[in-house]
Amino acid sequence: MSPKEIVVAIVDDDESVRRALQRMVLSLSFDPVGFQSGDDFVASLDRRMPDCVLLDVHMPGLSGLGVLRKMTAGRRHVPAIAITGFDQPGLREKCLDAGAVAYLIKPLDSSEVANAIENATAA
Amino acid sequence: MVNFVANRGLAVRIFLLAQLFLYPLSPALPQGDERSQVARVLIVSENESTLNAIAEIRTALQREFEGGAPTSVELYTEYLDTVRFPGSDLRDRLVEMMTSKYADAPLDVVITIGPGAFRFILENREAIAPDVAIVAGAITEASIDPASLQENVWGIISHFDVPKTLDLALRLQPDASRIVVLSGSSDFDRSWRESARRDLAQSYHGVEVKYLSGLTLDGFKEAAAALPPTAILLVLTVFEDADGRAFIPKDATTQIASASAAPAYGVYSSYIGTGIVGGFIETFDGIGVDLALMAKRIISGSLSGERLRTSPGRPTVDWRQLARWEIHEALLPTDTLVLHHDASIWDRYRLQILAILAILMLQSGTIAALIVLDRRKRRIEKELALERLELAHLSRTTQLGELSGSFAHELNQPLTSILANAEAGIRLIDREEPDIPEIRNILEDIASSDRRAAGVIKQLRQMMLKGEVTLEPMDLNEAVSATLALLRGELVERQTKVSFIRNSEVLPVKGNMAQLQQIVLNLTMNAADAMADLPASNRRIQIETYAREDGTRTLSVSDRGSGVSPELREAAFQPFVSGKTNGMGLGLAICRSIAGAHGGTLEFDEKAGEGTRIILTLPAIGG
Repeated sequence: MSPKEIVVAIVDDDESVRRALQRMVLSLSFDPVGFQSGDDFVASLDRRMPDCVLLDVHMPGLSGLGVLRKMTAGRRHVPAIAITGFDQPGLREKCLDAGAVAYLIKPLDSSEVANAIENATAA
Repeated sequence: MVNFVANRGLAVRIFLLAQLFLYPLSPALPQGDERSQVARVLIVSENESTLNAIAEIRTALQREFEGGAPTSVELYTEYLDTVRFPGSDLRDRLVEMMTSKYADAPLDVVITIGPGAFRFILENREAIAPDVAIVAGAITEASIDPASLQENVWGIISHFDVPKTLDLALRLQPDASRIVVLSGSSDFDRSWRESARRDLAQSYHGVEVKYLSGLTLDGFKEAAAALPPTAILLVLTVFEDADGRAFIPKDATTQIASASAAPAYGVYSSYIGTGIVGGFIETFDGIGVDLALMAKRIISGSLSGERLRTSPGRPTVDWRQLARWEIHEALLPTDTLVLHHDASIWDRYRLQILAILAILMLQSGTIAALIVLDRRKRRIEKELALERLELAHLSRTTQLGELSGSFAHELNQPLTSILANAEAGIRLIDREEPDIPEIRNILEDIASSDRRAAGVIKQLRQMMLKGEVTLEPMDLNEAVSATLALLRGELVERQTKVSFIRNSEVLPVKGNMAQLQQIVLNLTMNAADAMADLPASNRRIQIETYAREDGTRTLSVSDRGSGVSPELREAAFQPFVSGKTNGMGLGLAICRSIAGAHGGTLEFDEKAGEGTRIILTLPAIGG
């Protein structure tokens, strides 16, 4: 699967962050799709499953952890890379336990993101 | 002694007052048998009755005749006023009037006051008072010649004593450096100077004596102004100056004494009040006493011997001048007559003054105590304000520290955007056909994210500032928005929604931004804490600001938690009372203290139904 065919969902309630991450992912030759809330993303899974998701942990409404739990519960597993600007003790473990394949701390370095996406989609 | 002198003056005044009331009760002329027992004394004064000197002599005479006279004395007084009205026609009418007036009331003694009165009576003696004894007063040797004295004419001669005046001056100025004797250019002035020269020579009691004469009045003033303050200036008379200008000596003395840099003295009682300190002077009161004694002895037929007697003087000073030259009253001889002494008020109203002083002192004491209490209160208030400021700051920074994770998130969001955009931009530029419009969008997003990060830092700094106690005009809505912006990440994390209802775009208050933000922060976080156990969909905070009709400003924060029981509402404002496991429980106590410092209040809304509503009220701006 060539990078261009890999669809990467980006879920972040912060519009400017979402837009920037979409650009970064695009510049890494992936195909980005943005969602402004966890609920929107979960709802979209019925139509199309992305290859991977960059998932912000802190969001109003359905949070990143909530999304992970819903995916597990709904058996719609998309490899998720949890991203957070608010690193707290125990949060990494919580995310990984909830099904995330990676846990990245904002601000995100593009090579880090590229590695994470490649690892997440390699399987 | 000084008090005694003053008391005597008081006695005279009281006596005069008594006279005013007693006169109408006594008959104008004695009747029947009394007539033979009554001696009649006519006092003829050269000047008008209102002249102070004349009034004093008249008063003394009256007093002396009233007290201890062997026969009762009827006093008559005529004021010639010839100094002001010198016309001969008037003099003739006066003679005519007095002749007819006293024709039926034979006089025993005529007392004249002043040389003019003496001459007037001598010239008209046959008409007015034939063969009646004449006693002349307020007269010097120059006006009465002992060699050609008429029959039955007596007199109290005024003597002007230069040495005794200087004795007084040396007593008041023990460190005197020199004596300056000032005199004018008229013959009289010159004769005075020679007389003084005979008495004093070149030195008096070891103090050098200088003679100052032959100058114009201005020259005298300049010379006097150039004297050292340790000098003694004795003014004799200036009837005429070197330019031949004529003066009334009293007026010349007034000018010289006021210009003088050294204390001035004189031998004339008329000089007292011109600005001289004093001198050895016979007083008008003394002249009156002597005249009365002489007249009484003539009436009783016991007078013999010298017909002209010298009136004794006494040290006399002007109290105001003692004060001017800072001469201590203790230096005064005991028999000194102190004139113009304000202390007579003390003697007169001693009890009243003491009572008033006591009241004043009590009042002053009360006022002083109040001032001290007020100052102490202010100082304590100031210290408390500072402590409140410190405590508020400490509490605020602690709270901000607890929220540092969310602030990091707030900063990381724009940083994430910047970094991702920058890296994407670099890759776009590296392409063969760079998408320039997209690169432009990227750069714009970078700039706006950077500004957002700077805004977060600014907000944080603002709340971290200790700030001043001063209150500035500011927007209460801004305090809410800025605080909510800082708390955004935290509230998202807590899955708590905040709605901010502002009833006007701007709500001006007088306040301290950081401190009011602290209140908003505290109330918001308390509200979030109160709903932590509710389902996320129910975690809603409502913040509302509005101005009441009376102008007061209101900020309310409501939550949907379980509420605070009425018993716990007041306790919640006490320090160290906390429903939470973390924190010191200072939050609400400090918030209420801040509200108080803003002239406002912070209270729970008693009427709130579900949940808790807490209301901050601030005073209307501009009164």
